[in-house]
Amino acid sequence: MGYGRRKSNKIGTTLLFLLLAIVFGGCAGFLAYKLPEKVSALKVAKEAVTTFNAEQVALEEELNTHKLELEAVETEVQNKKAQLEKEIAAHPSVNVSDDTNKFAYLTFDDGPSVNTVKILDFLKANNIKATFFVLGKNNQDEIYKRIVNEGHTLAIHSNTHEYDKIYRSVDTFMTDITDLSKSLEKITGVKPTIMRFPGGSNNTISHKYGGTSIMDQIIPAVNNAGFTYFDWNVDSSDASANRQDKNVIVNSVLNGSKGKDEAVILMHDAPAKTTTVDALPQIVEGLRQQGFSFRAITGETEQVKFK
Amino acid sequence: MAYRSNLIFGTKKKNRFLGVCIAITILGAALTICLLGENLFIASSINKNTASIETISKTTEDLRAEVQAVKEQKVAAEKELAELQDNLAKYEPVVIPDSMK
Repeated sequence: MGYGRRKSNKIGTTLLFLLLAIVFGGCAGFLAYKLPEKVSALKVAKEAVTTFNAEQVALEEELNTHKLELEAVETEVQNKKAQLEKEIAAHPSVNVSDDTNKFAYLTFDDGPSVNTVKILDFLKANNIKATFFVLGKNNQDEIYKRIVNEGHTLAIHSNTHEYDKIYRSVDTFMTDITDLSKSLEKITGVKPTIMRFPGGSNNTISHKYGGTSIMDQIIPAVNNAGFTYFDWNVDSSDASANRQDKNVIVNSVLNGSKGKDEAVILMHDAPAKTTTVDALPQIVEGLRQQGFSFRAITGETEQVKFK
Repeated sequence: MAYRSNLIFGTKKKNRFLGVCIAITILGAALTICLLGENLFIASSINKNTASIETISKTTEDLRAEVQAVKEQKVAAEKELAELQDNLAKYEPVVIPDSMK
């Protein structure tokens, strides 16, 4: 009986430890299997924390930079406001109070020439931006470049400006402006997208060479090629005579601009147009007194067109 | 039968199988405790990091919104400045460059 009982206990103990060995072994195996997965998850979480921390630091730096810049701009705004108040008190004749959004676009056709250089000098001295609708001319690369470098808009007028050739067909016209566009892009590195038709979009001279519907055919072709054309709503009348009187030009511009919020002013900088250059100071002064600010035409400018 | 009797159910002589089972049990238990501890520690670390990520990401979101707001303020201030400069330009005397004199 004693021997049998001891033997039975021994068997029980052995079975118990066998079971425990299996259970612990299984548990250890399972945990060991799961461990790399958890280590990997922890690594990912730590990396995410590091990334977020770095982003937070970068954002804090960016915020500080923007705050400093904002502070500087706000200080300048206060200074300019004070300066403007003084100017308003000193010059009550200048119209600024309700005309903060009146823009004049000085535009010059048929350059570049020696007059273009003078105009550029004048615009630079007075911190004014303008638009130059140029022709294709040899040995004028420096002027084309200067127009772009000084922040003006270099726009297309015509490569040849020979009405009888360019208005013969859509193809001849497109070839003319595309050649000029490519040439200007090569010289300046900027592709012109603004253009003006020689004679304007409603000219009738073209009818003589391409028929009465030629402009209706050319305009869609120009639009499809990615150009935005601009006519004008103020004529300086400097093309009405070979050398128009300076005062006629000044009066044409100032009278034509009255009552307008956006004045696209047609002028010319061809070699003969010396009186246009002479008229510029009075034109700028008069337009400023009417409350105009000056802008160059861009893709965002509201299109002024005859048709 | 004799082998079985000796190895598993042997009485007076040492029972090797029982010894092996005990050894595996002890080792398994120790290993299980260690691994369980490590798993718990890692799980707790993951939880802490996850909580940190939530906090940081919320802070980051707030910062982004603040940066955006400051940027917008700056754009508005710059616009106001440009308008003021435009207006001030109207009072500036016209300058005639040498090339036009």
